[in-house]
Amino acid sequence: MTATVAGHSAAAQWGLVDWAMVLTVALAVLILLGIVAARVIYRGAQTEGGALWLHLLTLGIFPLCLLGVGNLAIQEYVQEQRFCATCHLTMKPYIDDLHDPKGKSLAALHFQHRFKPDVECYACHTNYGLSGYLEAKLTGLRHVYKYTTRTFELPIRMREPFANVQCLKCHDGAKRFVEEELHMDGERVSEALRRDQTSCGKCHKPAHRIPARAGTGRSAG
Amino acid sequence: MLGLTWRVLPGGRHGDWRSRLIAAAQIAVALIAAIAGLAMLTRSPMLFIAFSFGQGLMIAGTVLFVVVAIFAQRTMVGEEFAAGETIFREGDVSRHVYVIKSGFVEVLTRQADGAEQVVKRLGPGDHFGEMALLRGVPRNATVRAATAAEVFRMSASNFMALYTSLPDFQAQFNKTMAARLEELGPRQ
Repeated sequence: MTATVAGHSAAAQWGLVDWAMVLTVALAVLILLGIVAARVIYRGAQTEGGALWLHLLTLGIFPLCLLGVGNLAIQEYVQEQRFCATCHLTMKPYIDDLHDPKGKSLAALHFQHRFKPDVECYACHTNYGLSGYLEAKLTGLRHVYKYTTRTFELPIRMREPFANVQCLKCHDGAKRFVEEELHMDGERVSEALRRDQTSCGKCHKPAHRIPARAGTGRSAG
Repeated sequence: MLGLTWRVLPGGRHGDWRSRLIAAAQIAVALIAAIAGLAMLTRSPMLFIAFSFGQGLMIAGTVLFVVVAIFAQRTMVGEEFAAGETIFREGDVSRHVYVIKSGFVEVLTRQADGAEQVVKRLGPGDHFGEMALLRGVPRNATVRAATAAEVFRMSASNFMALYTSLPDFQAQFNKTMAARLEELGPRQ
């Protein structure tokens, strides 16, 4: 399935995440088959003869490999916008806006310019460094809980204002950014931007263009 | 089918603590492997979370196996069988030698008409299972617990180490094997 979005292909290409997921499934199947085989062939045998090797594979090597590729797959996949899109009741209008080839919102423009391909949501909504990563994981847990239990309300709102640092982490130092006098105090980013006394979104808006009907009403689940 | 299910289930075999640890490890690893596989196939956020938090169980399973691997190989393994329970069947692959600690077992062979006949009854101190192992052939008889029985199970490698290094031990087993082959008759 291929769709052309704003001049670039949005084809579902197989990447690292997909291969890691396939490998995880394959390992899971091998482990389950191996354990059943061990129960049938070797019954109560522990480490004698062939039982040792079968147990070594099914209880040692394969599980460790599965943990590695499984965690890799999940950690990479949860950063992708297709994961965000799984919460379709809340995220669908945002994803639609992102994919709109004629969209003029910040999200759409970033998508059209292939900024951080596939991880657009995560790239803009996650803070720097390990603390940002962990904070995103905790927030994600809360989102999954609220979505699964249908305890969220529409329209969804940000818990706190969008911090300018989310924009500055990429744009600070960029040629077009520093050429704009409003952005700078001499050689440095203006204090108003650094201290969130004003918001990037004040001039650069909208961040997302959401149809009015998509943002109202309470989820019925 | 029921027999197969019983074999696959961890409780299907009466083992010692090492066997139970292996069974616990298998349950833990199988559970998390199943969750991981389903999570990848369905891409369900809840299953991702279940895998992320449950993977400690898989690590625990691996550690349990390592514990068993360290301790199991060096020892004889005690097993308990209820009266009527089969210890091994005729035609099974030979992997162990057994020494009876308590109780009695029956040795059965299949007759031409398909019926099983008891050819010998063994008690405390007797051993069985060595014939097929030494000859490298499948089990030539079925052994069943006649009463509640406790047996020690020795791995083939441990048994062969004793058999090849202790002449008296070897002579004793050869003598027993010759006698039993004679008892079992021309079918052997």
